[in-house]
Amino acid sequence: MKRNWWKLLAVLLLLYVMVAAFITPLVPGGLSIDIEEIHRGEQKIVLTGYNTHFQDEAANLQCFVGVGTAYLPVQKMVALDNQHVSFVVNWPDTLPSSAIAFYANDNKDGSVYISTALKNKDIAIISSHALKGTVEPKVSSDEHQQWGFPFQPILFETIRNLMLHVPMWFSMFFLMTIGFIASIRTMLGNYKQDDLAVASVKVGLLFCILGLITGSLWARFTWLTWWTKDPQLNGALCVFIVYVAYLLLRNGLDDEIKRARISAVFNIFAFILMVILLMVWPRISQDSLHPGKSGNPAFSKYDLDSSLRTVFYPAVLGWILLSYWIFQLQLRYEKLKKHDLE
Amino acid sequence: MVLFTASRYIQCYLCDMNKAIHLFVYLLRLDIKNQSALAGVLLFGLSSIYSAYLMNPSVLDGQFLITFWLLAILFASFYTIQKEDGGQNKGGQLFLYTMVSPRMYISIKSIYTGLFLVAVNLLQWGLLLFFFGSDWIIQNNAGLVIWAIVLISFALGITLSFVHGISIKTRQPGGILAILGFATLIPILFSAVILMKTLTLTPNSGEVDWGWMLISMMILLPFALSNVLYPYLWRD
Repeated sequence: MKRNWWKLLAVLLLLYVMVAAFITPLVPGGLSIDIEEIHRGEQKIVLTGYNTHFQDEAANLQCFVGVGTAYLPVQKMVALDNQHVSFVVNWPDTLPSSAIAFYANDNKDGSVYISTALKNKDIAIISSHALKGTVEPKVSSDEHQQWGFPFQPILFETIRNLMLHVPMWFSMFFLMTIGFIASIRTMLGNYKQDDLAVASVKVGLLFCILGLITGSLWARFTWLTWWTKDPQLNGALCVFIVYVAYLLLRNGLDDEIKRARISAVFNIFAFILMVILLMVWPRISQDSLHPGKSGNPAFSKYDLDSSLRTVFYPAVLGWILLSYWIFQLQLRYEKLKKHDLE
Repeated sequence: MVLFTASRYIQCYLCDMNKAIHLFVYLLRLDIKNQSALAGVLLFGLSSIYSAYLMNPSVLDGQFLITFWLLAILFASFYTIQKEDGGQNKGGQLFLYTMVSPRMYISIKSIYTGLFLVAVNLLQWGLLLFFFGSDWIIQNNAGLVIWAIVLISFALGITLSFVHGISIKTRQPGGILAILGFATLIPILFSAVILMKTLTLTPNSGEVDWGWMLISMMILLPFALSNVLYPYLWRD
């Protein structure tokens, strides 16, 4: 048991990750409004929140409309239920900006808002116009009081996939690095290391497949497609093909020593190619949808808040430990298979 | 003493250069001797472009033509690299062992294949313009397009030379070359698509920039790696 403590740690970490990733709620956020265009005069609007408490906090609920840097008051505000609040906005003839945001604030949810592009029916937009009848909102706090994952438009509940998708690639990189080092040692004459290389590539490929599946599922819900011409996606698929080619190459070689040496050479080439395809190419390309690539803001910069970190870091460690465990089993199987053949 | 060392160094360098030139000429002679293979590559280029021309040029657009040209050069590259199998048999290998070091062999072979592919791919590009006209491409980028074709050809030549060196050691060299080649050539094809499309159809300087970067990387990296790794492949 003393030698296997890390296996127990892997199980505990992944149990924690699975529970925490799926039961932690999302913090409150603004989901939608029921209008597509604005018009002069009074207009009734229903704001839909997510995980909000409009009715429970009706006594403290405030709504207002942001136009550029100013705020317009609302009238006849009614909390329909915890997720819906209706109010009436009296739109003037002229607005200084077409950037409009609808806010709802209460003590529990903080400020939730919808900032969306709306069609304009008959209101003039003049940037120099000074808006009349504005208010200065007095809110106790903009911050919510709930513990939860960040509410990110587009991602919504799929943000939980971060605990599955990203650690798969970390695990794959970890295993392929083991394979790379083993291949260098094989190439230098330590042919026993070949078993390590092949076992790590086989398990690494498993994690690559899982990464592709979880990524494709995530893309379906956020980008509305199973697959897109994203350099990161195509790079990952190329990496998969390159490593499958490595396994096929091994099948084409009969002599054990020759197989170890030649496949080690290709594995080193494949690893360098993987670094370029997954780490360099998506960063220098201009059309990646992935966070942190092509100038997109990285997860860590604005999405990965402390609530996500408390689950994400254990997830990375847990999956890496699990991958190493599977790698050890695969290595034992490779050795037994070789022994059996002998 | 310094003069002596320097003269020895220059002597060795010249000696190596001499060997490199001999190897280059040897590879060229092999190709000239193997005229059917050489004619095969050229005929492949002509027949593929001409077959597309016979379809109906009026319905073909620029994107299709670029894709088609890339497919044609991909197959021509595979055909080119496979025609050199003659020099890689046991006897040929023994001869090469005595002639040059493995590093020099792979360097010269990569350069030779790259240059061969430059000629073949430029010829295919010329045939494409001959049959389909040049109205569909941006006219003032001709120099950059030729430079892109040179780089794409070198990237294909270097990577395929290395992969061919691996596949020749296996039971089914043809099959393994196709598998390894397809996997390793995808990044080159991606950068080739971006370069050719942006240079000939839709100019977008930003995208072209990273296309140049990627193709340069796909030349330098396989060249460096094949130099480091090839000596380990050559032992038999």
